[in-house]
Amino acid sequence: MGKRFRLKEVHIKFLLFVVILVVFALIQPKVFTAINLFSMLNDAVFTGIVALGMMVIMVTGNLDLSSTSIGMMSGYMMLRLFQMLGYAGDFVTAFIVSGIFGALLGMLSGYLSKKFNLSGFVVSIGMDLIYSSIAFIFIDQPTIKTAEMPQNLLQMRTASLLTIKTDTGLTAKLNIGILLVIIVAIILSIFLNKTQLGRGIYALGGDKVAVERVGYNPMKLTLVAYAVFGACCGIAATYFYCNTGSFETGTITSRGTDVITAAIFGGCNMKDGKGSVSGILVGVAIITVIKSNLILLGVPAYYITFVVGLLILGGVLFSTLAERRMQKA
Amino acid sequence: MSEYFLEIKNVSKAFQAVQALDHVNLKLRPGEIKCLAGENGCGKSTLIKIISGVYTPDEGEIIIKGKSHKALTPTESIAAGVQVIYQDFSLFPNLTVAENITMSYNLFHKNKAVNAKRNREMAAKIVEEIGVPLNLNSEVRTLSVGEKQVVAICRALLLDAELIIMDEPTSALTSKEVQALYKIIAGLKKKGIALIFVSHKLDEVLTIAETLSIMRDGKNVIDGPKEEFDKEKISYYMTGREVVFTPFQPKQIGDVILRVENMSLEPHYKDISFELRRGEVLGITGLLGSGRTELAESIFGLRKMDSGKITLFGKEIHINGGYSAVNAGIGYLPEDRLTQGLFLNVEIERNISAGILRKFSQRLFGVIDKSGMHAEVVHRVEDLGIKLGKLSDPVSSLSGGNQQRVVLAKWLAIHPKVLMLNCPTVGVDVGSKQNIHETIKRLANEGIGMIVISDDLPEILSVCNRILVMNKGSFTGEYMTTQLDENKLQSMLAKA
Repeated sequence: MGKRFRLKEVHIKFLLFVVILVVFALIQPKVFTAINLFSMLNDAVFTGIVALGMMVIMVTGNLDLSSTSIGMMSGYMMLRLFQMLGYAGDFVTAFIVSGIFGALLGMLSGYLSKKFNLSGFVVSIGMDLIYSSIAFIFIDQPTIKTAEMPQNLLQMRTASLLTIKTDTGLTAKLNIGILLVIIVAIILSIFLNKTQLGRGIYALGGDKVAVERVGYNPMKLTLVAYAVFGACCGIAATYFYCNTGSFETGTITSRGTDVITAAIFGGCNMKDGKGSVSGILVGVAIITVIKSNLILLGVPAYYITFVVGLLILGGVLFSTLAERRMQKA
Repeated sequence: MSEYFLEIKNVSKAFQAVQALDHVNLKLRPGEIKCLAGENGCGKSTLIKIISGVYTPDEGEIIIKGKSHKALTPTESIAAGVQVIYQDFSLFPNLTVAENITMSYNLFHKNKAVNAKRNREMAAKIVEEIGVPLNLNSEVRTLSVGEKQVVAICRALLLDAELIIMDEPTSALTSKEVQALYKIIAGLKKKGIALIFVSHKLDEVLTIAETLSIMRDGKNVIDGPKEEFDKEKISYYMTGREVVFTPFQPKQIGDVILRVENMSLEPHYKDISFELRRGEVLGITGLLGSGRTELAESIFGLRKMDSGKITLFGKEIHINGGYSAVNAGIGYLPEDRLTQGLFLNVEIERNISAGILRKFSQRLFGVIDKSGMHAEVVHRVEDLGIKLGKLSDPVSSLSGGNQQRVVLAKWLAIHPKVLMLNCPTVGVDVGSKQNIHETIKRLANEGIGMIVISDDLPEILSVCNRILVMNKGSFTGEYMTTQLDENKLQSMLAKA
C-alpha cells in the first residue's frame, strides 16, 4: 500500500507557526535576529520537555496539573542530595537522579488514580497543592543560592551549542539545552511508536477495558505513563535550575499553563487517546513564539495571558473541527 | 485424541449464595457451530468466562483437545485456541485496523518491539482470508459496527483460534451486516474452526446454528441438533413455560379515541387514515422502509407532516414536537430504546420520572414534590414487575426486558390516552417478551388506546385485535386478527 502524503493537522499547525513568526518579524525586525531566535529556543526547553511528558499522560486520557510541582520537588531533592554528599555534580547524574525522583512522584499519582479509580486530574490538583506547600513546611531554607549549588552544574549557564558574534558586537549564544529536548523527543518517539509497551499507552487511552482483554496490565501501563511524565518534569526542572544557577520554589510553577497550552495546541486530546511528539513540538514552538515576541514588543503581561487563553480555546476548536472534517471526507 | 474439541464435564460455579452453574455439560466438535441460548441470568456468561479462563470453576472438568484441566487461566485458554469476541468488540478506536488486529498476537508472543511492516502484512493476510475489504491504515473509530466486528474476528484468527465464542454478535448489526457475518461464519467452519454463538434471538439461532444448547437457572435443559427444534420449543425450554400465541380479544370496544385523516409526508407515507377505539390494540405492520416508523414519529410530532388531521377524543390537535404530544396525552416508545428511549447511565428512578417532572413541580417556585414523584415511580415499578436492585442504579445495569419496562413505566406515569409502541420487544428475552405482551393487553383493557408497530409477525398476531398492513407508505389492508395467520400475513407483506 503506497503512502500518500496527506495534509494532517500537524502540518497545518506548522504552517501557522511560520505565519505567526513572519508576522512578528514584519512588525518588529528584531524578531529575526540571532539573539532573539536563540533566546526563544532557550526559552522553549523547559516547556518543551514537560509538554512531551504531559503528552504521555494525555494520551492515556488524563491531565496532570502537578507537572511543575513534581519538577520542583525532584529538582530540589537532587540538588540537596548532591549538596549533602558534597558532590559537585555532573549533568548525566543530575538528570538521571532528578528523573528518577520525578518518575517516583509521578507513579505515586498514577498509582492512586488507578488503584482507587480516581480521576487523575483531581489527584493531580491535590498533589500540586501538597508539593507546592511542602517546600514551605519542611524546608527551613527554601532557596539555594548560586554559591551553594553543586558547582559543576552551573556550567549549564555557559554551555553553548553555537555562538554567533553579531554586527553590533553582542554575542548570541544557543544554549545546549535544546539538545536535551531533541534527545527526549527522539527517545519518546521511539518508545511510543516502536515498542509494544508504548503502543499499550495509546491503547489504554483508546479503551480502558479492552486493554486488559488483549493482554496488557493496565496498572503497569498507567505507572509507566506517569513515570515517563514525572521523569520529564524532573529533567526539565533540573535544566531550569542549572541554567538559572539557583533554586527558588516559585520560579517554575507559573509555567504550568504554558505546558498545557502547548500540549492542547499540539493536538493532544484527553478524550480519545491522541497525541504525537511532532504535534507537541509544533505546539511548544507556537506558544513560545507568541509569548516571547509579545514580550519583545512590549505588550503588557495581561494581554499575553489573554492571548494564551485564546490559544487554548482555539487549539481545542481547531482539532475538533479538523476531526469532523476528516470524518466527513 | 477425542472427537471433540471442547468438553465441559459437570462444571459448577457459585457466587456467594447464587449457584450460577450447576453441573453443566457441553460438547463441541471441531467446525461445529453451536448456539448457546437462554434467558438473561441463566449462566451463559459464567460458562463462557470459565472457558475463557476468567473464572475458576468450583468443580468439574474442562477438556480441550483431549487435555483435561481443572481450571484455565486466560493465557492457557488463548494458547489452547479459545477466543472470545465480546459484545463491545474490545477494540481501540484510536489505533489502526492493522494494529488492532495484531496487538494481541504481539502481546501473546511477547514481542517487545513494534514492526509496523510485519503487522500490516500479517493483518493483510488475515483480512484477505476473511474476504472482507478493509483499509488497514484506517483508524478503527471511522469503521462501521459491522467492520469493527470483522476486525475483532481477524484478531481472533491471527491467534490461531480453533474456537471462537461470540457474545450476542448480531445485536448491533444491520440486517445486511448480519448476512455478511453469516457468510464469514460459514467460511470459518470450512477451516475447521468451532463457534459458540451466544444469543437469545430465535430467528438467528435457527438460521445459523447446527446444534443448540439451552440453559436455564444454571443448568443444562436440552442439547441437540437444530432440526429437533422450532421456535415454540426453544421458547419453552428457555422459559420453562409454554408460550402460547392467542389473538387478543378486547373485552369491550368503546368510542373512538384517536382519528387520523389523510396524513401525508412524502416520500415516506401518503394519505393515511385510521381510527383507534377504546379497548383496542391496533397493530401496524410493514417491512423496513414501509413508512411505519415515520408515521408513528409524525403522530408523536418528531417529524412534521405535509398535510393531514389528527383528532383526539373528537378535538383536533396540532402537535409540534414530542413535548406537545406528551401534553396532549400521546406516548411513544421508540424503536431503539438505547439511544432514543433511555438515559442509560442515569438512575432508574430519574428515567421513569423524566416525563412527569412538570406535573410534580407545580408548586411555588417550581419546587419538585419528590415524595409524590417517588410514590408514582414505585407504583409503576411494582405494577410492571420491573426486576431491579435499587432505584438509584443506572438503567444500564438492567437486562433488555427490564430496560424496556422502564421505558414503558416512564410513559405510563404520564397517564397517556394513546400509547404507540414501536417494536416493543426487540432484543428482549422470551420471558420478558410475553410479560410485555400481557401488559399491552391489560393496558388496552384499562382504556388506553394502544398502537403496536412491529414486523415481528407472531407478536403482532398475538397482541393486536386489528391489524393494518403498510406497504410503500400506504395502508394496503385492514384485518381482524382472527381472520389471519402468520403465513397469510407474511404473504401480504411480501406482496409488493
